[in-house]
Amino acid sequence: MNKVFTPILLIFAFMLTIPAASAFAEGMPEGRMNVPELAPFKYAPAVFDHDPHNEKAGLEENCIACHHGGENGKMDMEDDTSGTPCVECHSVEKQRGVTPLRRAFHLQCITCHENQNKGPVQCKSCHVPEK
Amino acid sequence: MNSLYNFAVGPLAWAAFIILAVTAVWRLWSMYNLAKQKDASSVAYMSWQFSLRSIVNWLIPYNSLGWKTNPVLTAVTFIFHICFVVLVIFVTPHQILLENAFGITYPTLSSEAADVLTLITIACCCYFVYRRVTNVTVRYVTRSNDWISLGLVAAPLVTALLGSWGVGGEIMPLLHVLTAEALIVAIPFTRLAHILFALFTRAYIGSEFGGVRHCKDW
Ligand code: HEC
Ligand code: HEC
Ligand code: HEC
Ligand code: HEC
Repeated sequence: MNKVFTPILLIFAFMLTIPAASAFAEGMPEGRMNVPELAPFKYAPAVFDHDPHNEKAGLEENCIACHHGGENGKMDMEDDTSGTPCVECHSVEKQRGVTPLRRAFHLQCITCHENQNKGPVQCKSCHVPEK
Repeated sequence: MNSLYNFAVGPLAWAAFIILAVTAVWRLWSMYNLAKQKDASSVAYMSWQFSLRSIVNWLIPYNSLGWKTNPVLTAVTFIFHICFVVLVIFVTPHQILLENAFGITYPTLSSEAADVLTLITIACCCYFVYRRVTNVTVRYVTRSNDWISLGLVAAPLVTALLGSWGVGGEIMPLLHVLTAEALIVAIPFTRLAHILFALFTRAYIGSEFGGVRHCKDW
């Protein structure tokens, strides 16, 4: 009996997680980043699967690790801005007191990967060429 | 792998540039002192006008007698140096590293253009090898120092190209960074020291020809 029921139970358990995941996934980067403001592109968009990435990295509870707030040149690590695209605050072109968009992405992604010694740090490990 | 790469693009890169700066100043300083000791009158004759005149005239392809005697070598030499400098500055990953570290942003080459320039530069290196092997006069004055210098220059170019083609995965960019750092540190201690000395050598000869012999040195 157990041999039949355990897989079925497992399949049900797995199906329950799908609605939970897709509720979050709406509008989030899926598979790769999608930042049209950075065009014209020199590389394939960086590989980034929002929810699975954050689950693997243990960041599900820590949205502020990436979605911080702030204004007038000061970062606010208390203000959760989840859902606000980075470009709202980080202009593509250089401006006084603003880290431009491309650098903001690189500093956030690469600095954390370096500090944790986990996750890609080389150009092509993030910008995996598309076939 | 990652920690090694992070170490190579971080602390090791800083170490390489600091070692280059210190040893370059030391090499230039000891050469200056040697000139003062062995050839004091030449130091007295150094002149901005004759120095710049010589440097400018030798920067123009086929302008000097020296450049005219061996037209192919002259072409390859100019192409090699121009491509190498353009690559070092205008290749996208170098700019991105500068941007991430210091916020420096400027336009860069596409990866296709960079690949073409790298291929051309490697071809120039092949010509230098060919010449050293086949030309009897050149072979006679070739020392291991020359081969080491040529190898140090070629290694980052080859690893960059292979990395751009995706050969060797994450190993190749690591090798590229390490070989480039070896090249940087080796500059003052190999034939690559001409990067430091070339302008001064020209100034020295230009000043002597202009101020003492009253004739052109090109
Ligand atoms: C590892 C960094 C990181 C973490 C942690 C993170 N996000 Fe994101 N998130 C991003 C990035 C990068 C984007 C894309 C932003 C852009 O396109 O400007 C994004 C986009 C989003 C979007 C879509 C915005 C849009 O433009 O449509 C939502 C919603 C979102 N995140 C919610 C969350 C929530 C909720 C959490 C916490 C459970 C979270 N994020 C944790 C990096 C992160
Ligand atoms: C509500 C506005 C706002 C949003 C949204 C926002 N930031 Fe910021 N961020 C700031 C401010 C303000 C600063 C401090 C000034 C600066 O460096 O631009 C800052 C600083 C940073 C820094 C630090 C730069 C340094 O020099 O250390 C990084 C990296 C960064 N942001 C990345 C991101 C990324 C990636 C996103 C999107 C996931 C994002 N930011 C979304 C406002 C914002
Ligand atoms: C706060 C820390 C943190 C930030 C910020 C962060 N990451 Fe990560 N990332 C991690 C960790 C930790 C891992 C390793 C997870 C594992 O394999 O255990 C990882 C892994 C990855 C992986 C490999 C995933 C896999 O399946 O192996 C990719 C791709 C990645 N990150 C892309 C990004 C991008 C793109 C950004 C910026 C938008 C980013 N990360 C920002 C912590 C972070
Ligand atoms: C940890 C992941 C990560 C690494 C490592 C990384 N990038 Fe990015 N990069 C990003 C993200 C995220 C963006 C913004 C979204 C995108 O990909 O367009 C970006 C954007 C860019 C852009 C602007 C968009 C384009 O295609 O023109 C360039 C250029 C770029 N990166 C070059 C590089 C280079 C060169 C390196 C290596 C020195 C590098 N990146 C390493 C994550 C990364």
